Amino acid sequence: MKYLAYILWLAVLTGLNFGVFGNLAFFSTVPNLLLLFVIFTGSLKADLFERLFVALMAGLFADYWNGGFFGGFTLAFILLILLLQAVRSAFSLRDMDWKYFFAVFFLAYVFVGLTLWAYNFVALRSNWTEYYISFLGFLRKWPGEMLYNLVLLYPTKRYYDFVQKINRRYLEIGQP
Amino acid sequence: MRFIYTKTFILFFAFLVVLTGVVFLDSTNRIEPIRRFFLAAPKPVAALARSVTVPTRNFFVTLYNLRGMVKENQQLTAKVSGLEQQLVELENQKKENEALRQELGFVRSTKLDLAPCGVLSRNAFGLMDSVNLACGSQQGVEEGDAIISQGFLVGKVIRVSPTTSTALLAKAANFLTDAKIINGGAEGVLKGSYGFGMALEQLPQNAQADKGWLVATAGIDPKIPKNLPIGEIGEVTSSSNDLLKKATVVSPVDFKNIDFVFVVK
Repeated sequence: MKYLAYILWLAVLTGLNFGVFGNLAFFSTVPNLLLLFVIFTGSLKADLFERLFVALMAGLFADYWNGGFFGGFTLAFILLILLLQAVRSAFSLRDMDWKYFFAVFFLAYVFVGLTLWAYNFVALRSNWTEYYISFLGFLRKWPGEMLYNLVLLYPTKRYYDFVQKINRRYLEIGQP
Repeated sequence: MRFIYTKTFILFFAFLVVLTGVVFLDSTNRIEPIRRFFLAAPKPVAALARSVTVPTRNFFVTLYNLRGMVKENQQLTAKVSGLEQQLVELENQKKENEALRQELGFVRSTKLDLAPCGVLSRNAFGLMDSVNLACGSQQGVEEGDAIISQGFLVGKVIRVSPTTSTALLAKAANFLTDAKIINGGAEGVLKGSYGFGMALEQLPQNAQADKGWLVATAGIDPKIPKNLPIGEIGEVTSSSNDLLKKATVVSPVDFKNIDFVFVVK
């Protein structure tokens, strides 16, 4: 039940991403609320399985809705959870502080972008696809997209907190 | 303890195996219901959100463009007068053509075989400039088919599954197709320009490309029919020193608001 609830919340987030911000493009860039949600989940949640599950589902939504070569977002999100786990362990952080969070956000954002590009590049070189996201295309969109994501960082955090609150209250899941 | 024996690695590895399986099954179209679920589940929220954001955005865009719209209105009025004049000439030519066809026994060219398709999702993360369509191989859609909106070419199908397909929009950086300028007849390559628009490249330097001239498909790609309108010439971006000419192409279709397309089968 609790995992079904996560799928529902992620579907709502994908719908908002597309329905609201898809129509409010900023310099032809659209934010990625799923990425922000995964960053929060990876930084703040305790249970690793739950974090990986959220990353997998968010990645599948992102991959299916993105329309490019399948699997890039999912792989990037799963690896991101592992990276955030390593950062948490290295800095002995249980809960992320906002002052650390901007650094984590930047790291996660660059990491996901590079992983996504590398995955598409490998797919192209392996002749699995002829349509991929070029590095130049990435670079052109990065500044605007990062700014847009930064603006939506706090609202997504509120959404994340809301999801946790609802989950804890009605489904007895979430952070202990 | 070595990392590979930790719970973290085992879980991580298990998820990677699941992902590999999903990628493999999806590439062979064996998990079509899952694909449809992930594409359809966010639709109600997206539709509800769009019903609020689109009118709001349009209202502010109209306000912002009000002064420009008055000028545009004058230009369009002038254009309509010119087109009406052309229409009369074309009507005469059409009648003349019909008469000649009948006389020569020509068969009228076949009409396009179109499959109507709803758009499931559209460039959701601003990366691929692609659209997911609610029709696939069961509706006769094939890879490479052209997609049109309001009669203009807007992209081509790059991936097909039984009930859904993915099309690359003409403004995408990877988009390529042959095109020609209707007036001069010069042929070139139409390319997307990183989501910002389209460009007609590799035109001969002596080719004439005036602003407003209609650009259509050249018919070299066997999957894309000849003379499908694409847009009109915006401005020439190459200099006279360049070996080949390059011009921007402006489509009347709003790529951000494509909700319904036709696939040219």
